[in-house]
Amino acid sequence: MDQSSLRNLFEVNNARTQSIEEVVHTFLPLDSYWRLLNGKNHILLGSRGSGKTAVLRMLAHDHLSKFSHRTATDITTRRAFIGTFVPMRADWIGTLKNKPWDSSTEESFRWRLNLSCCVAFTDTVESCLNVYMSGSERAFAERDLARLLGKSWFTDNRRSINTITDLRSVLEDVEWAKQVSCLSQLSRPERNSLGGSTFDLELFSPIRRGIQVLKRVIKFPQDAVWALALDELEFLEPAHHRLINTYLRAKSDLAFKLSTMPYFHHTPQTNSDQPIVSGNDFDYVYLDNDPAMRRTDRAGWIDWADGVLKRRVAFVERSTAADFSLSRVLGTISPLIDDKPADWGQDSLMMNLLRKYGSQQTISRAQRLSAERFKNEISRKMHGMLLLREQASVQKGHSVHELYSGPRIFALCSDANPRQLIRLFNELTLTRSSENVLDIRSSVRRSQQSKYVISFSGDALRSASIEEGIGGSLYDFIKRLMEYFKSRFYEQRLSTDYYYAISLGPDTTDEQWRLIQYAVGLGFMFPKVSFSQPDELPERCFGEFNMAYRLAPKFGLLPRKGKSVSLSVAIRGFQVPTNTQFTLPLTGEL
Amino acid sequence: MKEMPDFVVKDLVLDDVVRKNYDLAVFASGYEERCTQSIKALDRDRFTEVLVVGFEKIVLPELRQQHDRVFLQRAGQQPTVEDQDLPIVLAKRLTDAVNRATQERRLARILVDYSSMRREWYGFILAFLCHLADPGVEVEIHFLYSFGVYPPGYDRAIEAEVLESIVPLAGMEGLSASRPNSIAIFGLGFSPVAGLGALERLQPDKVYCFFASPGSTDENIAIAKRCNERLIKRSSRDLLGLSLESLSSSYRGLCELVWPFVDRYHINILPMGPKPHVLASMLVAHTYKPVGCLYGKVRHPTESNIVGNGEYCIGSVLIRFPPR
Repeated sequence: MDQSSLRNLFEVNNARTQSIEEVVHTFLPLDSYWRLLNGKNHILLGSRGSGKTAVLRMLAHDHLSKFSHRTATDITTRRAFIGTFVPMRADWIGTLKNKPWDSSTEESFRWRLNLSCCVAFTDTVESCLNVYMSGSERAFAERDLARLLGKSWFTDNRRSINTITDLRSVLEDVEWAKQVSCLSQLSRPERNSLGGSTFDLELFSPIRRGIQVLKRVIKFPQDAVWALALDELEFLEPAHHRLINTYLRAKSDLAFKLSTMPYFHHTPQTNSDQPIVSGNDFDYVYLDNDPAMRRTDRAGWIDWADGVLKRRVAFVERSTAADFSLSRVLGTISPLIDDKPADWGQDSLMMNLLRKYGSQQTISRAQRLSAERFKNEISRKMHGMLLLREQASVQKGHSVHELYSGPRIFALCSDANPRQLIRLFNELTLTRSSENVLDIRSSVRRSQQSKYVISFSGDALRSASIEEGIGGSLYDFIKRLMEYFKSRFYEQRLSTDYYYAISLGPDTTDEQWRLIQYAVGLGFMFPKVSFSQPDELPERCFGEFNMAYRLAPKFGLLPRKGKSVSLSVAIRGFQVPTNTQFTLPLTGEL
Repeated sequence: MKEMPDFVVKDLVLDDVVRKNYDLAVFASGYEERCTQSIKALDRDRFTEVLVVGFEKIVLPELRQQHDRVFLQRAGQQPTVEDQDLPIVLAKRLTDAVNRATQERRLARILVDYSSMRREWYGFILAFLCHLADPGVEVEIHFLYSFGVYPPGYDRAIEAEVLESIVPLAGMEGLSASRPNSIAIFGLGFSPVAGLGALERLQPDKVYCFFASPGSTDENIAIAKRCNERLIKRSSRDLLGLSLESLSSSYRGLCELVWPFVDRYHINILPMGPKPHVLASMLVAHTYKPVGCLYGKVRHPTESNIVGNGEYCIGSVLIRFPPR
């Protein structure tokens, strides 16, 4: 086993930075992915790290054609779906904001996006050549395509362009020349202006022209879908969304697949009078709420986590992947979550804990229930809560415990987010080794697991503070809510109700709504979405939002769904009701 | 199409600067006492033109007014206050200075005291001169930086910073639109948010980090490492130490770091540490087309007054375009 390669593959937890082979071989398609492979316009919503980029990349022809899945192979063979993926990074977008003297920001955006679409389209062209042409036919086709595209895209045709590589070099030079001209025009506009170029034309017209050229050289069916996947729209300005929306509304030969964070499709407006309408001009696809994940039982989460990690291991060494499983590394039991057949006899530990921490009403109710109902209504709901309360009361200093261990806790604390899953896996496996080398064969001690899950949880909270534009406020907001849930859990006697969500009312302020939108966008909260409309996000003043599971260990809470409390109540802080006051002294954080 | 300029980067001492004449000297009047250190040490008569740039925000106004008075007294200039026209003002003054020298068939020489300048300002000066010069023309810029004495708790004040945005400096954008793969190189400072925030946003293929050594105190090195612990964990190789006192060696060190990647990657350098390293990063961005120099704008909860300690890091950058 090449431990070093494995380590590197796990350090890379963003699809944008993976090679085509890495993305293709480690991709685990969920229902959301298959919904996108058609000619409709889609806006893919997903919190940061939820896999939006991987999904969009897998729509690109150079990825889809390498995906060994029956449906993907069929689509590629029929030439039915030709996708192009365009990344838009922070530095890409930042370039639109760094020239205070330049008022032509919309024109700059159009120019830049047109150029990037053409650069990305060269990957599509190359992939189509590789898949649909062979031998000398391929070489001639590449030369013809490069020449034709060069003539279509560049006004200066003095350079010889015979290959896709030549084409890419000229595109790089065009970008460089634009940068020079932006500065030089401050001193000598008459000398340095580049004049109009193909990339100044209407948005998406250069790539459309490229598609026409490609169709001339390689045959495609009339009904082939030509898709353009634009990634990370959340960082664009509303004016940019407005411009792109205009093309979603117009009848087009391009199918748009856009990705952004939930609540970060800034506007439905277009540059015409009519806004775009969900369900008509496009469909939202909410990745965080993929039916394959959110609506399954907890075993589904473990299967998903196992699947994501196993694919990564298999990419490096197939034989090791067969041996890999989360239960091998983490054991089979998650003490806080698993409803194991614990002893609930009259003098058992659990029953004594119920007497010690349960409310009088809950204890009385428990005594009346049949064994079956007791299991469903009391023990299954409360055993994790009781264990946490007991741990807090016996905890001394930073002594270790084993409560946050096992595969279910691991899967839940990833919040079904691939990036968080890999980060947590790294925390458990890389950091315990002095050589910083991944070890997937030996099991991790339960106390170690618990320690690293709590540390990961603290890091997750801290990561709110680094968020551009909102960091400090977001960190304070989330911390305050989590402290409320902690107080509510620890400062009164327990019932079967567990609180771990907020609900919004008409009194939600602009600032609170902004913080919630960011919290959802970054995966610190998840909206409770209806089964009938899984892709519709709650509006301001109406929604309910679960806190992220990965925040729970830091505050000694259970990573599971809970009942909601009003945001305004949670923000005010927890006041202990006099009749339910808990008498045991609280210890420090777990 | 215009190509990249050739640079000759050398280190100078204050005596070299004192004896030279300049077509234009650019200073910044700010809230740090060190901003007036060099104007007090230099002879106004050796500058054909002087431009003093002032901060838009009114921070520590008493100190700022005090520094404005020093510039008025020593250079006869009120500051040109920062607004969106500042680049146009700078462009005009730089163009005039270079044209004057060109007409006289001699090297144009500009002095820039960037000790208290925003990096957008001195970055713009460098970028503009790189793109302004014609084949055969030579421009020499002397970048002067006053080392400062940081007040107690300076590192803790910076820890409370909030990242506002990440943008490339104008003219140093690299090839972010035409190259999909990227590398990020972070210069470590005392802010734990800037680097991590940028890392989260950029998600580069590879990460490298550099820090100030030699030239920095053991205590400052320890603080920089502590503040950037998570960033360092992501680094693809050991930390690179770059001299704080020598612009030329920092520039050379960074060129050696980026060189293996310039054919394949878009490379972002995000210098968050001392200004001489920021300048060295800017120079690298003007040496290789695929290299961009980014700026993590941060909101400071408080401003700190930094007093000059009497020592300088001075670098000479000769910009020339080979005749076609």
